[in-house]
Amino acid sequence: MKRTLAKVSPGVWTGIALVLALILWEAAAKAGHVDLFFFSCPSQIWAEFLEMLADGTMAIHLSVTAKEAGLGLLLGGVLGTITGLTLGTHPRLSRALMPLMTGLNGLPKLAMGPLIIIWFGLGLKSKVIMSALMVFFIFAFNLYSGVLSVERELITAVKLLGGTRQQVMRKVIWPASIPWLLTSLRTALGLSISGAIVGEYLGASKGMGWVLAASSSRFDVGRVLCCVAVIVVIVVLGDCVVRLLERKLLKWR
Amino acid sequence: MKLLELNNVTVSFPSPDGTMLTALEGMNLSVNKGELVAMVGPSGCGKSTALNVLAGQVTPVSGQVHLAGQPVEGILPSVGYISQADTLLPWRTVLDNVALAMELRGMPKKERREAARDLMAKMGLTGFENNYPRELSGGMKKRAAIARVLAVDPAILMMDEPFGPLDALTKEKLQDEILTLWESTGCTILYVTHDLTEAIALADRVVLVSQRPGRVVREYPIDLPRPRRVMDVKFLPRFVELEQAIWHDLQTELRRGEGEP
Repeated sequence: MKRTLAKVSPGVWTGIALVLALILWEAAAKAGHVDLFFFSCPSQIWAEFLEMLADGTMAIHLSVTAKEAGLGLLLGGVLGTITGLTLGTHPRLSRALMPLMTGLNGLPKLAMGPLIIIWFGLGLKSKVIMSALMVFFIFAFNLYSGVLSVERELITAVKLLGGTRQQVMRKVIWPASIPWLLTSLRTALGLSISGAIVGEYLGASKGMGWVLAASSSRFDVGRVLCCVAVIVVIVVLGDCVVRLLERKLLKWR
Repeated sequence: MKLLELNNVTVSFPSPDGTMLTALEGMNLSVNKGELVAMVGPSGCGKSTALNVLAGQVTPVSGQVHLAGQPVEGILPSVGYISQADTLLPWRTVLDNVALAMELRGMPKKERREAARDLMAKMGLTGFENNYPRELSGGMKKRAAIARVLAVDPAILMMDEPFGPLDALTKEKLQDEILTLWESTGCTILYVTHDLTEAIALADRVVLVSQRPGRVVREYPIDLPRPRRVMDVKFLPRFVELEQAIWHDLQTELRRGEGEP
């Protein structure tokens, strides 16, 4: 019995725990132990979801947020990667800039939101920048560590085979950094969405963050929780995609 | 014909405590074309430094280094360098690792893969083209590393304790392969090792390097018959004679080192 249980994949246990929790919640709500006004219940949230799907609100707002977070992730990811690689390969530059980077990373980024809205307006731009700011340092610091952890012997060997500085960069440092890039991507995925949502929360007329802000001000807990659940599912799905990518790109490990 | 020449070469590095550390002092060494020379000496004596000078990785403070009559300045692509470390790129298949030097020189993909396949066959690696380095044994990794430097037809092969971390049987097999390679291609090899048996079994000439600062103490021509097999040659009376003679001088060198502060 013990052996067959051990064979069940951990994912299945997660699923079972989740379903049990939902059933418990639903049952408690039905029995009147949970105040639906404050806490809603799974069936209500599901109904909310179907309604938002049917009237098109979900598609409108989700696509806005996805676009902001996607562009933010791209912008922050590319800039962060370039920064990390550059600092990693230029020791003098990194000695000068790393303290500054660490300091900037210490900024409460979400608290920068209002300023960013003032600077970049209520539209797409401010959300993309918010989201990029959330992920930039993750990429920069990870890639920096990645470059520093490349085995010196590999670099020397490629130089001895006649590799130029540029070739060492392309054929040693870059491929050795891919695992760090993917790790950053996994961490950054959720944060890029958080960035976009906080941006919308602070000032927007569309997007999941706006829906969250609008529904909570109406005490529409069902809709709030519905949006939260959708975001969670999207982050988890994104994580699965990155993991698949990892398995494909890192099969040499 | 002299292919490689170190002339009165001195190398020093700043040591961690700030003083200068002299690794080589007035070192003279020459290697003829087609020769297999082994450098032996106490550990830390600067054998590897000498090799790094020859490969253009380290610039001497004074003295001249010449390869094929040309002064050595900077890294030379005509030197095939094999170190003790495993330096195959782990994210590349064995085939693409072997093709790396050709790739760096801009050879088209199809050609370099074909050449790499031939080299792999030569080194007994056929069938492992699409494996990753982690899937190979230590001995096979070494073979792949050798195939990788052979790809660009180096003027000289420099080997820095290449088989150091391998087990005795694998080591002996690879030593025989080096002999076969050398005998069949007529290439020039400079081989650094602290293993005297290995040095005598392989080389035409053994060069004994002193305690740091390293210089050449003595050279011993190895007049054992060719072609050689390590297993056969190491029980010859002449082999034992040579080993005793060099071992005696090496001991003296070691004691001299201990006597110093």
